Amino acid sequence: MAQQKIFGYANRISVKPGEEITFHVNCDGASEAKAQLVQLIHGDTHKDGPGHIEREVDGPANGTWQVKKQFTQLGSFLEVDDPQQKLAVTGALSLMAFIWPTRTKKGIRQTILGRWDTFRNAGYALGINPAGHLEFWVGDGKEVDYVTAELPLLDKVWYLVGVSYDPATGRAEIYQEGVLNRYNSLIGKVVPYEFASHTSQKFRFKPSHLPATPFLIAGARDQHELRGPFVSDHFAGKIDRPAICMRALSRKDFDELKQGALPPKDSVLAYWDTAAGYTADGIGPDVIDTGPHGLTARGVNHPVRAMTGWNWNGRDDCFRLDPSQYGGIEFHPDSVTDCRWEVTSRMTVPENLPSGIYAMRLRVGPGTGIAEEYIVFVVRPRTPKGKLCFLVPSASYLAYANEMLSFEAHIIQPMTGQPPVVTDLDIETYEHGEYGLSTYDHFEDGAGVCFTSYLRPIINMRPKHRMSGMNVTWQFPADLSIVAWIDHMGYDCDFITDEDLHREGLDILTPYNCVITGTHPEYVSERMLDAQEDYVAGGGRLIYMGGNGYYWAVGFAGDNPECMEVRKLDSGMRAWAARPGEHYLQTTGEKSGLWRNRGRAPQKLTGVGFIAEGFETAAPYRKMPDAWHRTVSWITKGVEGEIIGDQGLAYGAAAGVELDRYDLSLGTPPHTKIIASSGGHSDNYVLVTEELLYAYAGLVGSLDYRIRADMTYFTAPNNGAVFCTGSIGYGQALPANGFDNSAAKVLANVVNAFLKSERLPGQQWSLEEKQWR
Amino acid sequence: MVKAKANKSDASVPPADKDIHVRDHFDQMTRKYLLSVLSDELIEEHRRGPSHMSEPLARLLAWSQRRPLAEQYAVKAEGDGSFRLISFSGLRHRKPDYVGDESFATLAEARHGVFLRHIKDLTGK
Repeated sequence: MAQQKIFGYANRISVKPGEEITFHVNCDGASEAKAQLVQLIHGDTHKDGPGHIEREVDGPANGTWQVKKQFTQLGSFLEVDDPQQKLAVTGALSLMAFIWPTRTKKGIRQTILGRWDTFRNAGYALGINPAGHLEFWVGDGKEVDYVTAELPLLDKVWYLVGVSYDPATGRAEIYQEGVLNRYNSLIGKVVPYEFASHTSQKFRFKPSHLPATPFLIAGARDQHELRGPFVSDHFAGKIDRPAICMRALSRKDFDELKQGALPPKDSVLAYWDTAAGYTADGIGPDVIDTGPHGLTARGVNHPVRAMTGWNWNGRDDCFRLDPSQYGGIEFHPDSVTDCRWEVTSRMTVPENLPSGIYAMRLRVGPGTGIAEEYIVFVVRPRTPKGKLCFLVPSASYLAYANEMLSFEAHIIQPMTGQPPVVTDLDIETYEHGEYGLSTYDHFEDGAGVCFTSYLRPIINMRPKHRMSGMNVTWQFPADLSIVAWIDHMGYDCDFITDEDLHREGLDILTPYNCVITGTHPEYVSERMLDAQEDYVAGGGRLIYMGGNGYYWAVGFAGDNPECMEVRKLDSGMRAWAARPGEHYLQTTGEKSGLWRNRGRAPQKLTGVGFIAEGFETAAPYRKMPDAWHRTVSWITKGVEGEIIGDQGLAYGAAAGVELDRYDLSLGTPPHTKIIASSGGHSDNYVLVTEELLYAYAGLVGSLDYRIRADMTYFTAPNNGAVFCTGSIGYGQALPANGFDNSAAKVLANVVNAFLKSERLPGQQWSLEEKQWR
Repeated sequence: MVKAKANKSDASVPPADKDIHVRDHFDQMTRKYLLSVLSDELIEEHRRGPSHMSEPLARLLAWSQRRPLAEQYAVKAEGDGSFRLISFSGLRHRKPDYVGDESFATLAEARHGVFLRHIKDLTGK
């Protein structure tokens, strides 16, 4: 019997009672799965905590589900909408495109553009052969004729490539010319390579055309006995302004194209103007055909736009300055942003289901490890009920979705100072690689991943998962430690997600006296940031429960809220660096990278911002002089002595993993008080790169006083306030010792005060506070 | 000025990455130092797992952790609560292989097992 494994996802990450959610499941080795709705309370199995806690809940979808194998289309490509088969050309034709290939040495066939069925050897296509040479081929349903360039293509160099083909004579001629300038390619003019190749061949037969074959850019039609039609032979790299003409163009015609001319008007069948359609707010996935038939090319798995094109001059660094230089569309054979599986089951959320974090638990066979799946979703209230709101950092879950740093990132062991601890689930996901990558990973050609979506199984957005590189819970399962504490305390709490906040803005926060974040709300859109700033300024009370929050500027496409975009650049602790000229989000037009580099350092909202990260160990906080000040002494009431947070599930204490620091030079509100601060961290804790102007030895925990977590508090207008823990590990410290510990005590003091609709404790001293130093 | 075109063989076989030669040279120097400080005491220091380690141990760990991916080890958490050692292939989507038959009762023991594997690679014994 095949190994039993089950994976799934939902079409939504946040739902209200009465709304429908659909579940999409792929299963091997079983045809039935046991489905049970559960409320998730705690997800860390660490021996010092309460362990995994879930509550089974009555639900209309509970029971036995029929499950089956479902296939995932990997790879980004463009599919041309050609219902009248205008591109099933029987006469002469020419194909052309500017390309910037990235995997010419991989030893595989790649299709740049064409109407080609690779399973049935029918149609025509221009592509790259396994030896890395440009090639054009036609098939008559039996045999294939080829014409191949003499010289191989070089990776990361812009070329104009094309073919001129006349079936009447059988002559097919390849056109390959380098179009490097001083900026657009990896190498420059000092490299004495020959880039041009012009070869011809006489073909024996004409192409045959099958009605169902689509015209694809960056892929070709294939067929599998079980799966049916799919796309293979993906192209890796950038394609700019592909076109097809209905005559055999001359060398002179191509030479004019090389200078930037449009294809001859009288012969154009389709010209996909990849630089057309940009607005100040970005561009969508579909590509406009400015030819006579308007054959729109639709993007699948998010081909990356807002990328430099063949004519990029190195001066205009954003498509908003000159979209004509941004015709590059980047394709990756290992990209997936939507598994597009059939619906396995659906559920209308029961009206009486309290707001919380839920999952559909699925089990087959042994029901453990890869035979168990949790499809997680948040149930938000139909109308706000509690005074406390947990803001689930779903954008950050997306950023880390299916990260595989332990397997591929050479940096991970030096960074964590420890060998990874992997599980069968980690290995299974890595080996099969069909559920896509995180924004911490690279595509196989080395490019960073900038799109991530929840329309695919996310193995680390489930309880019990531990991030293998760090061997602690991370993001979702770590946040469940805060959820468990809220549950333990009995607070009436509503749950909303980043997606809800992005869509609805400030209005979704205003009903609440207090908003509490997750452990690592690192990825935020402008709307999310604006809403939280306005909430605090309007009298809201925010508890920032983590470290390295409010860090990356991200975007969501208006019609694709399930898919997030980020570009990592310039500075910051980053897994990859966007190339020059490619720093702006195609989904919004904004510059991505750190909010700090856009004038909105996290200190301005929260009082603290990212200063260091480290692993293996953590440290407690020690009270700072402000802790005893009469305006804030209520925060540490009941904590004897100076130490706070000397227990925890993340390396044994509350200050650890990623740390934030108070810094007036970055916008910490001047009246902010440092209640407590950690210190004495190990040398595995290193200063973040955005703090560096000049690097020098010793920017580590035992030598640099800046490396610490600051617990801070400040009051805001209209009776608002912000409390920060400054550490990812604080949330995981809450469940220690049966929730009876100093970190939990401090947080309870703050939440209890923030929930009261009255002046905050200590505010009777506000006049003096302004004068106090 | 003589204007010459590269012949086809220049372009058809892109040169290999020469950086590896320099890395190998650096690695030889590092290994030589590490072999000079390697001792039973150093191994025992790692087994005890102090939070602040001696400079020789720190350098030995730094070398271990910076080796190419295909020369690194990790710990596999088994379903029964035990731990085993694995090594990475360095090739995408190829699953790691078990290293040896030894099973460890605790994570600390398994991590020390990883350390000993690196020592074995360093000394060739």
